[in-house]
Amino acid sequence: MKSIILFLLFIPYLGIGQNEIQVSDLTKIKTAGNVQITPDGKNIIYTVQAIEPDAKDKWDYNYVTQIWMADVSGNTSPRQLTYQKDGANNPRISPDGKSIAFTRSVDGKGQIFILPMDGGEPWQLTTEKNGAGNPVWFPDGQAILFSSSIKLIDLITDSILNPKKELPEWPTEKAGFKDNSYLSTNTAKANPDGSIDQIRAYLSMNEKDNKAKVITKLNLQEEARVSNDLSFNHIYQIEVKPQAKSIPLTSGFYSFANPQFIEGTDEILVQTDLDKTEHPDRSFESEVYRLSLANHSLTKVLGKKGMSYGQATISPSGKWIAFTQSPILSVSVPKLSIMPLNGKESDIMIINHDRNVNSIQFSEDDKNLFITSASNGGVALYLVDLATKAVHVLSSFDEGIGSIDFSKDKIAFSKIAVASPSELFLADTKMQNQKLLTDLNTSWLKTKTLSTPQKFSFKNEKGLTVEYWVMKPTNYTPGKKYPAMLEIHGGPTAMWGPGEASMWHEFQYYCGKGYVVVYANPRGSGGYGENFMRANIKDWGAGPTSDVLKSLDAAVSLGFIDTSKLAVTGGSYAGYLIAWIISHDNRFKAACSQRGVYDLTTFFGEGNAWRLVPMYFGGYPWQPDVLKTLEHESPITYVQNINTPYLMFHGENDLRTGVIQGEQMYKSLKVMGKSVEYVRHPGATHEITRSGNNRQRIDQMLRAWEFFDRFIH
Amino acid sequence: MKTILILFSFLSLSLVHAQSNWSPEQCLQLKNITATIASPDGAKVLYSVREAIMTEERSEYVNQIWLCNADGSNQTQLTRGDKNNANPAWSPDGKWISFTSNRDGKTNLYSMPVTGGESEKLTDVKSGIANYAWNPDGNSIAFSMADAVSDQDEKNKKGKNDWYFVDEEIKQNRLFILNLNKKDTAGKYAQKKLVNEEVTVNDFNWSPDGKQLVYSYSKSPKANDEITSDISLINVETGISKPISSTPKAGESNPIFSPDGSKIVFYASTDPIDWSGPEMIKVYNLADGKITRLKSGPNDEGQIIGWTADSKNIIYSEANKTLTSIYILSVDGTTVTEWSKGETDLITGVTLNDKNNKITFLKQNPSSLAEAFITGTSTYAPVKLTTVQAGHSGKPLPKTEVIKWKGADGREIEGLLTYPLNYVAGQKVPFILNVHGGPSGVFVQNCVVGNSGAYPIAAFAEQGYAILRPNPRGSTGYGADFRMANRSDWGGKDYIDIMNGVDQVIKMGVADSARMGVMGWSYGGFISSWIVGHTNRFKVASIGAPVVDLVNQNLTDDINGFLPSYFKADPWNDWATYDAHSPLRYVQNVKTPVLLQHCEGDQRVPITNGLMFYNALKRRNVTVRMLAMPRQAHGPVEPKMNLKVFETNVEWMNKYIGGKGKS
Repeated sequence: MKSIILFLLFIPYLGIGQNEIQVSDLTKIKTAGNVQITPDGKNIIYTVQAIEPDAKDKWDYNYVTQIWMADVSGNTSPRQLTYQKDGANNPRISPDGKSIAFTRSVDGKGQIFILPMDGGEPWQLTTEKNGAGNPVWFPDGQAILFSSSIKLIDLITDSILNPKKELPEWPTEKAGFKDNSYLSTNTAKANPDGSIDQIRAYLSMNEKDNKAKVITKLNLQEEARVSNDLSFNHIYQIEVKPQAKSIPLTSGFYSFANPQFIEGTDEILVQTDLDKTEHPDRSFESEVYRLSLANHSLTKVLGKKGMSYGQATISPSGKWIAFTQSPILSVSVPKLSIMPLNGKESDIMIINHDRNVNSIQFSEDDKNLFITSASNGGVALYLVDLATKAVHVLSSFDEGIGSIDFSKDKIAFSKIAVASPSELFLADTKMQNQKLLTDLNTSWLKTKTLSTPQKFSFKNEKGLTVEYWVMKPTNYTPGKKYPAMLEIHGGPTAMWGPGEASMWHEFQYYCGKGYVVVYANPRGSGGYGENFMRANIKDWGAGPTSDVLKSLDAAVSLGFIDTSKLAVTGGSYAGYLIAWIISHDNRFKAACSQRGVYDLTTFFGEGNAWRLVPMYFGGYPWQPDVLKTLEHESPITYVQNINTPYLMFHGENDLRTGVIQGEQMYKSLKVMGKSVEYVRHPGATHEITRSGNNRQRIDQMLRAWEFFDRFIH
Repeated sequence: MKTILILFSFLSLSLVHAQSNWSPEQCLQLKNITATIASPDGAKVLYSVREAIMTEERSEYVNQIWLCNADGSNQTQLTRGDKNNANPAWSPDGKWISFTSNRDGKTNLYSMPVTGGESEKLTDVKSGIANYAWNPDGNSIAFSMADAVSDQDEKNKKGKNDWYFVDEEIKQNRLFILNLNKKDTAGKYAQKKLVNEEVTVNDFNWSPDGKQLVYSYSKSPKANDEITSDISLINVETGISKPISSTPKAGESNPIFSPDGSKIVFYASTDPIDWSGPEMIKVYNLADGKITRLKSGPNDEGQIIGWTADSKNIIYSEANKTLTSIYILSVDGTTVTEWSKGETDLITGVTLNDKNNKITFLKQNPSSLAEAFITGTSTYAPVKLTTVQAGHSGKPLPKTEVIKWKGADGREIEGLLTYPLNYVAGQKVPFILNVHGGPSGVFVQNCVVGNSGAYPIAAFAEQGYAILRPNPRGSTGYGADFRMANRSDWGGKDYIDIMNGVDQVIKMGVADSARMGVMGWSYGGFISSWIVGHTNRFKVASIGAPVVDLVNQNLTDDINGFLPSYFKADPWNDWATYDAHSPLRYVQNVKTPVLLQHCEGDQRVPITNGLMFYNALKRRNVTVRMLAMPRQAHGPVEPKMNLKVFETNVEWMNKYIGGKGKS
């Protein structure tokens, strides 16, 4: 009887045949990552992130990442290699192809596991008390490098990493103390009525028991909590055999990252910032060193005051490194560069490529670089011919290349496109003859109708070419007019386009709801070079507003937008820009700011993204001329002009932008009796719409649509 | 105080056994091979290895699954962790390995690719998978599972409203089909219940075309019902079933399809069932529904292994005195051939692969631990597969030999005599008589080192004891007549058979008649308690889960047809016989110090038996202790309980008849 009832319930549901993307479809999206070709070139290892129903709460979902393997011939279906509900991530194939190292959470800490490829279940290699991540195989496959992060207070007493019980050389900035000796363990017994040492022991105990948080560092805001914690990432090696013990290769009150073996040596390349003079919160340099595996000594390769050298990549022969360089704390595009490993600063060659670099890999013969960069609405693969320094684009700006790996004759990559938000592909070394290897989303999308963005551009008053896209409603009928949703991105250095993954679903959702979706990359966006990116310095409001509204005007001129039904939404910097727009323009029927910034002066204090203030506005609020600019550029200054019905979102734990300025905005509008609603999402951070709780992602999207529906039918 | 004592006893043990190899603690560290199965192509073998986990908070046996090539090379551990991974099987195409695991709390079914990868959880059940079998087409798996405790049951338990009427709320064992090609909306593989009648499904087997299942079932999972199970055939698609053999008072079980799909072989009891009577091998012919009985082995009680690939013979194994033999029974019912003839080791755990062409099994002898072997099905030619016990090679083991003597009426009786380690001929040593259960059990030539049961034979031998393990009348392995020769006569000629064996060992000059002890569990506990009520020749007794009062036993145990089968009447029709054969009626004669051991969860011989004997002895001021073990069934099943029984028995014997230390 029960099964009959269920059957009847299902029939009408299926009968509707909803061809539009639904809000709940976001839980169907599977995303490929960590693409790696096996040494024999026959298979591709990759991860798939899925959104799975929670076992207990039927409305909740969890992200689960598992490792998969696809046959390059495409003759057999890809198969799932890991299943445990804790998931598996960061797979790294051993040099002989017989094992995969991967990470998995054990009791809340990441640990490294080994999956034998000739049969049998994975076994746990590391049992690090602070967790282990980023496994890198030794070339001989006998051992693995990994990194593990340790807190300052633990590092002071750690017998392995700090046997001499040393203290940081850089100033910890504790007021009233000349040096760091106060950090040495106080052996006094806690007593609130005792000696100064006993009182300090008592106060330390209260800190440990979370009765007090004492803040002495500059960057007090993490992503979701205020904390004085400082952590240091160290690199370890461990033999690949059960019960092996790890050995640290780095030490000190510094962090080390991105270890790579240098062919023909017993050294690895590492990135760090060995600055004895400044607290890590103030030191922004990044340096590159060679680390000897024999005696753990460090030899500097790259590093200079005021410069950050990143993404260091060693060539297969070990003779060259590729990297990016940029002045610290600047609004700039780091410059792609190469240098002989044993070269001097004067040997650095800069590649003429005015785009941010996502990934760098040398070709097997050292002769070319494969790089990926966000550009013009997509993420493209480029080939740099190191002989001529010529840069060739190998893939379309209408698609986004995600994770990528190269073999002698093949390129394997994950790709985001309008047709599917993520699939794994294989192509030849020129990115031709692309072959789809997976069905992560293609099958469930077969019953859906998708809207395809059309790309347009115009030249703005500064002579910059601004690109924008128009998406028709899913069930568009020529001759009809439709409401329009202007979507604006954050950053301000983000870039949107058909090759950008995070908005795939939201754009299609609004098209499915009958909106025309218009989005642009206004001045200040990434993907168009340094000049474009810097074009909004001291001009966060008016200039970018002009670019996005011009895009909307141009879309309207296409003839299918009902100008009495315009809405606008966006998050973070876009939340700022929307407040700016509606305090200067009344064309929108309703507006929605998500996790926005509204008062730059307050933002300086409450957001961990506060460095944007000096970087974009030239200084700090206590400097009168800067204060003037900040006030001029803050939407709160114009709050009395807002008449557009306004929905404001903020994640309750969002410390990247902070909630206070939003509440200032909300309260001001409320006092004035304006049409405003404010939604806080408990527990949510700044990443709510991208990697947040899926029920809250659905909630926020639906709440925005429902709010617009009150004003636009 | 208790913890100090425990610590102290551990300390003293480790001192005593500084040079020993087979102390109770050392025995509990042994690994056991618990299952073997060759791949369909015969090239690889899966097996499971069991180890005890004893930590402060845990005491359990955990299996892990291993894989090796059929020549014993390339040993690979497939599962790890501290949870149980057991019951390995191959998918019909040999590409997947399935097993059961309790890693997520409940025992669920998992599968992993032979070529590498983590296992996928195939089921998400609320109770636990009991048995399972792949459909030969590889697209589904049949499994059985007990009814889960309902939410209402849980609520009643929490709210202390958990009364029940005896025998009225049966948790049946049900048969399900798991569809590996279909997932439900929650992302789980679709499963459906197959047999809807209120019965318990015991064994099941797929037809070679994967369309039908033959299964045995009983009205409840109780042992007394299972023994009279019947057999039906069910169409998996339609769910329509058809009886093969339906006999209310007789039992039919373990049906297996022939590879050509034309016949089904099964066990059948006599009608009505006679417990431990002859067990027949019968074949059902699907074409005409006729059932024929095959000529079976000399013991008339054994195990059907399966069919030969040509569907012409049944592979069958039986206890053969103190060994086991594999026989080939022709399906035409005319011939029986002892196929493993000449094998002098004990064969156990005989398993046939899906293609009916490879047999895997364990081989051992009294002084060699069990390892897995493989043979083809044409000739018996064992090839060693495992070296699980390699770490124990070179550790000396005592000599064990089969001895024979004349029993009560001149019948030849056999027993296994284990000598003290490094025994010098002519020495008279302390002696322990060990009596097996059943009574239709049998002492066979398994290795004297073990980690299960109650009696660490090797530990006793290391401490200077000689141990006799007799197979008196009533034992299996010597034919149906011998097995049934103790009817209405427990404590009669069986007792004489045993005591004649003791006299034999004294006569051999091995046993010191002044230092003799007796120990036994279940029916062995019956004989031990009978002995102490009839003779004072033994200076000490260790009695486990004894039947001491036949009426109490018959009216409280879970096999209530058992004693009426042996004593030919229900108790109310013959109180006198039940009384006459109850050791409790002789408790007034007992002078021997007695150690009793009984498990609280014992349904076969409920603990009331042990308590009656204990209280009677205690009130008579006879030296007595009783070791009670919570949770355990008809014998210890948790390693710490195994260890405690081992240690307690060694200490108890040492106290009264001494070992090496006191000679």
